[in-house]
Amino acid sequence: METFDPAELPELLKLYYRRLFPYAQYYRWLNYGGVIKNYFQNREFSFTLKDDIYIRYQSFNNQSELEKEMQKMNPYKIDIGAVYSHRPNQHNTVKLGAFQAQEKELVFDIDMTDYDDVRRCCSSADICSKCWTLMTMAIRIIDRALKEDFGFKHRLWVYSGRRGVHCWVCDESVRKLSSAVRSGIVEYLSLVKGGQDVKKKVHLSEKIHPFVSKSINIIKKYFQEYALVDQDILENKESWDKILALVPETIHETLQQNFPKYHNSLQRWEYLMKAISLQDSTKNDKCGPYLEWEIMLQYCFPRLDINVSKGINHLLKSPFSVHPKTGRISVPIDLQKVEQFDPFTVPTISSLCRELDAISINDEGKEGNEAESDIKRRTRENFFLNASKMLIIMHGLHNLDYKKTSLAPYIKVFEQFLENLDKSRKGELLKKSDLQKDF
Amino acid sequence: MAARITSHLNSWGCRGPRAVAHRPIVNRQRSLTFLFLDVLTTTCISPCTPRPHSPDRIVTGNEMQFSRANWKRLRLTGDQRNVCYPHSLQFYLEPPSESISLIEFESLAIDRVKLLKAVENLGVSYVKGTEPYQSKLESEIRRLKFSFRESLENEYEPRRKDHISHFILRLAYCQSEDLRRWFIQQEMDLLRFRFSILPKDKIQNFLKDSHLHFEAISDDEKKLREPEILASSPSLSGSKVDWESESVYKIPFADALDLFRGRKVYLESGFAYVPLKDIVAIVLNEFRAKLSKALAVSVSLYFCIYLISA
Repeated sequence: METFDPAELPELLKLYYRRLFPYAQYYRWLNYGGVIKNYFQNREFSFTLKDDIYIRYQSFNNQSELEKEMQKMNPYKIDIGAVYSHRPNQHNTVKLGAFQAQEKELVFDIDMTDYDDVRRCCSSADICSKCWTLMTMAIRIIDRALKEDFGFKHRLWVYSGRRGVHCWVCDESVRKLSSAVRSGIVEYLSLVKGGQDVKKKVHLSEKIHPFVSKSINIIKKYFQEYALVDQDILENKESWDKILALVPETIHETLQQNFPKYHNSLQRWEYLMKAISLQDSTKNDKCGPYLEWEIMLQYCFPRLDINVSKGINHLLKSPFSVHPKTGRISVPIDLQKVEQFDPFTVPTISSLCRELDAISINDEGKEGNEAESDIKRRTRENFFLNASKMLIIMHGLHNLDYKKTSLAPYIKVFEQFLENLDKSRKGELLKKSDLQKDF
Repeated sequence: MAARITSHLNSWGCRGPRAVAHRPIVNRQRSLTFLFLDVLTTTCISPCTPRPHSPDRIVTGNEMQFSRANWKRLRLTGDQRNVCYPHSLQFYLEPPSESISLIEFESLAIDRVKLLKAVENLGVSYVKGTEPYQSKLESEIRRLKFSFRESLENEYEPRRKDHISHFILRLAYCQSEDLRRWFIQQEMDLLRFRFSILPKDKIQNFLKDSHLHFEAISDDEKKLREPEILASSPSLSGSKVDWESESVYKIPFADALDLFRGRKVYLESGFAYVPLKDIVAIVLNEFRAKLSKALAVSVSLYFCIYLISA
């Protein structure tokens, strides 16, 4: 139905970068109100061009230059890096050691491949509706902690385009955080530890930190549907052997004997819980008081890649970038509708371009009166908007094409995010100017 | 004069935890002479008219703070003294800015080296924090006439001694990684001891004066978060906890890195709710970080030298 052919990318990208990419909003984001001098100019971008040519240390003076370069180079992938001490595209002219990464958003990358040991439906780069719930749970758990525990206000969640999600935390103070603190945040958010050779990856102590208990409460909402129905983790001997590896040997025999007597994972899970509670917890090192939670966490808790988050100069895929293998756009995720987000309905670049074509054909018939009144209405609206918004809209007038495509709702989510950033910034500026006026 | 001082410091072992045997003594003496020389250079860089000074007056301190007033400053009296050093312990944030004789300079430095060596030895012979360690360290501090008790009268002299001697040793011990590490370790142990004997009601004042963003929360706020704080802080486990009298401090989460990374503290809206015991760890880490940075800066002083005849 909606096929994407990577061979068509050069042509599709040309159209995408000319008529769909939301440059105005993108610039509005990364410019952060222009409060800090050269913040946008010192930002590193990297482009991956056709034939895997990778160029780093790209930087631009303004939105117009960004547009021109992107349209000229037609990048397959765009990554965003840090804000440096100097313009990245001039880094070779800077004295050795003086060119430093100074600020960057705090970012997280949650990748479905990291869950291969606990999902039965897919592996590696594949995803399906059965395992996508892992991302839903991850977003809920991580976002709650970022918001309630750390007090971060401006969090942008983005679909990566294939098998995961990214989070960009853009608060002013967060952009200045050191690498050590970023690492610390990832450590705080980590519960699943150990590689392929480690069977039991979650160990809870006597004291349960509120972060853990709140995360468990979120997982409980999804566990039955996700793990016992969709993933069917106790379906057969092969699958329940994996669970047995997480519980003390002393109950293995009784479980192996009795599991076959039940018909589905739900029943077997209940029996498992009974068997655990009858177990004397003091005799075993594998059986703490929270065994049930340890199993749930191992199967459902988010797995973060610390390397993505800790480095200030780490480059991460840009929102609204295209995924070269799937053709899907990296779109923002609406936090109000996380459960409804379906990666398979995210527009691909080919479907968007088809929509554009259809619009052109349609519009040709509608020229005349309607187009005119459209323009009249727009002018009136522009007149009443404040100066900055007016400039942005006028600048991006030729890019309003996206509004007529399925990209529109995602850009709306992005604009809401930008509104919140603006509000915060205005609040901060007011506070500062108030402080200066008072003695 | 310079030779006498250097030999004293040598015998008291301006050394790190491992004997730096490969260094020829000649270099050591030369570098220690630099120590005094760069201190003396501050007299030349001062903005005031240089007066012919006797070789045995040294002015310590930051060139930029130096002024004519300081040059002529006499010892402070009465209330001014208490304002100068309001607490028995300090973070040594500001360098001293008064003039002292070379003899006093020498004796202060030597006494502090003795003290730090005692700190090192006691830390090896006894478990830190136990009764014998605490009482022996206290008697050593008293013997050498350094400050330690918050509420005693006439604490000005010991506190001043503590202040100046710390800064003198900074210059001596910044030379190498080994020396720096040794110096920081002993200073931290000393500060930890002094903090441990601070009365509870004095702690808040001390923290406030140190410009750390610590704020004790009210009883109501504490009650609201009682289960969360108790569930988060390992230092509040066990039967010895008296929740009512326990002070809890609210600090920006980034200041409690070692605590929150291991989920050993309760976080809410960007603040960590830290019981008193854990505050000490944070304070010490802060101290170590600042001292480490300061020592790295001190090394650059070695590049301004001139000779003074003793």
